Amino acid sequence: MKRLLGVALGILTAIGGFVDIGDLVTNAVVGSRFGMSLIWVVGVGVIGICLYADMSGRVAAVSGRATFEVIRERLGPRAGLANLGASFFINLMTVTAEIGGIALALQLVTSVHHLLWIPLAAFAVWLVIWRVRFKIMENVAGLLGLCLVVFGVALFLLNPDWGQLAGQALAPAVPQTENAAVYWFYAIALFGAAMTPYEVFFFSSGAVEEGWKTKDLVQSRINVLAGFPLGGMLSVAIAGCAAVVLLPAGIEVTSLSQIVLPVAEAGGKLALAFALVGILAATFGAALETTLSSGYTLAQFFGWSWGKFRSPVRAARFHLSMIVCLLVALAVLATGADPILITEYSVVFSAVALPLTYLPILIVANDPQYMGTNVNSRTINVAANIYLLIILAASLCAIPLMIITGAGA
Amino acid sequence: MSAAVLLFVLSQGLIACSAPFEQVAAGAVNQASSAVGTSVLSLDLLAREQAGTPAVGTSLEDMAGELEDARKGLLDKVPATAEERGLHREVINALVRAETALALARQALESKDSPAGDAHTPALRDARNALAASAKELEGLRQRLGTGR
Amino acid sequence: MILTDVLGSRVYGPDATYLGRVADARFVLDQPPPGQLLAGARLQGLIVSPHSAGSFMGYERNNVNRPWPWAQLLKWWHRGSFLVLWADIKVMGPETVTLREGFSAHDPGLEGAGTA
Repeated sequence: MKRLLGVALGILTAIGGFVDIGDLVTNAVVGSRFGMSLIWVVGVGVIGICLYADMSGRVAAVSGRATFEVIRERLGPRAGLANLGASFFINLMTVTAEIGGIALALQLVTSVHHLLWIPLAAFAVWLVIWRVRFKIMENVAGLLGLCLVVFGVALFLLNPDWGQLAGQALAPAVPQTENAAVYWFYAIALFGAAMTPYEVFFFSSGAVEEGWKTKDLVQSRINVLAGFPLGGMLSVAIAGCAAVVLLPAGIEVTSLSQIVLPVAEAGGKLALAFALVGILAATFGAALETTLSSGYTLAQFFGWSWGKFRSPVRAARFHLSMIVCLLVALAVLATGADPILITEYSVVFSAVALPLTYLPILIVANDPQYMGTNVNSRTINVAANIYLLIILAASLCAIPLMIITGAGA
Repeated sequence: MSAAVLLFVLSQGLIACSAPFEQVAAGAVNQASSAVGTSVLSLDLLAREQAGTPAVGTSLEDMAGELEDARKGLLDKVPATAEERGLHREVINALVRAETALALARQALESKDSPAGDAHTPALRDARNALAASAKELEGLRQRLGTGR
Repeated sequence: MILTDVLGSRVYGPDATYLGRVADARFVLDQPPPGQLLAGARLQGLIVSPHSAGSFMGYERNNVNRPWPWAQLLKWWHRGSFLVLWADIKVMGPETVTLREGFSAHDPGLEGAGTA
């Protein structure tokens, strides 16, 4: 019974923890401009993240090594440092976006300007990282994030023409008001949002934090294989709401306040309240995960002691580096940079950096010396290779497409 | 990575300078039309008590920023021919009307919760109607110019 | 001199022919441990790779050949690489490494678990 509860809790946390500011914004933008015609990318991205999160979790559970320890070991000091530079830069951008997202959500609740919320948001993130136990932190954020299910409920309440939505989703085409380059640019952005590298940094480091062993592999696999696809459904619902309400009105999403309008339209103030709690929990949870990920990547690369299972005094550099990251994010946001814009860039740059993270994981997951009998099966390797091709293509096309389309403007 | 960022910024500068006038105008109209549409939707939600003042107020504030962006983007572009000058004036006028309507709505929203609020409630309805008129005008322009993409 | 200074250095034979770059350093753990929880490592030699100074990514071990095609690709990348023993190195200078007259090139591969 206790085990069953553990499994259920794990799945629920994975669902609530799947969506972050990147998924939220990108899906709403895409829904409001392309309807459901890009939804297939969410499916592709979710399968990819399931595949690689499972792999990184397995490596961490069996070998006790988190993803960046593996990257450092396999790539050597120079290529490893270059990889760290890129991954860390993108991660820092995501931290900035998530903290901005918290502040934007708080503005929607209180109408106090988001710039005033930013210091408080960053402080709260730091406090939780400093004080709260890993397990509690992850579960509370994940469970509250489940409030985002209201986007799915709203989609039903809006009573859309399901046939038309399914038609857009199943026979994707570039809408007449958009051009093909913009369509593919947003395809890459959605893919980057679903597969952001921090998810595997966090997932694998979390496995070490929680002391997973080989016997926990079944449960971790269930969490991933049930939780992430259901979390992906939340992304689809967000896009669907935007497609049903905003697209026909000629509204293109550029701010967080627009994302929640369809929910209010469908379910009034109560639904809106759920959506806001969900967004707050999702961005706060993701802010915790990304901030921790920046600490994890740095500490794992340089060989510092790390982890929330150690007291801060035993992992001083790990905690200090996270404080510095939060301060940098704070400084960037204090310039008045638009968090939504930062989010849009962060998901595209994530797509650029994807191969750096995923190739080393694939290689180590095949290493019999580390993995023993838990090496990748042939089927997983075939799928992982197909995904590496997709990842490589997305990575190479991201910057050129961004330039051609003016970042989708 | 930083090279990529630099390249991107430079190229954006080049693209912004080289885009034809009509395309820039169409982009501004599209952006404004989206902002005004959002404002109308928000005010409707407020009127039906489906959304509270903070959410609607934030939305109007965000959209005011969008309208300002659209107008500034267009002002950066100098029209060359007489035809372009005409279009420039037409679009700028439409944008200014939209901004005025939105400013009206934001004022009405501010005073809604003040003690003398009840007397001002019609102001919200007036502002909503002004925004709806502006939305219609922008939609007409958008039909004519396309989305600029 | 630290290891990072050596990695990537150009390697020349005794007659000044270019042989490749230093891709890795090979240590053996056969010394008395210098302290508790430490292992005594001895530098056995350098791995010289004619085509790339990049990492072997773990494929210096002969029995690791998955996943296709990355294992094959990385092994091909380092084709022709060899191990030179510490005794065969004449000058280990900044930027370049020069080998002694009559040095012998050993197979860089590791057997089994890589503890050979």
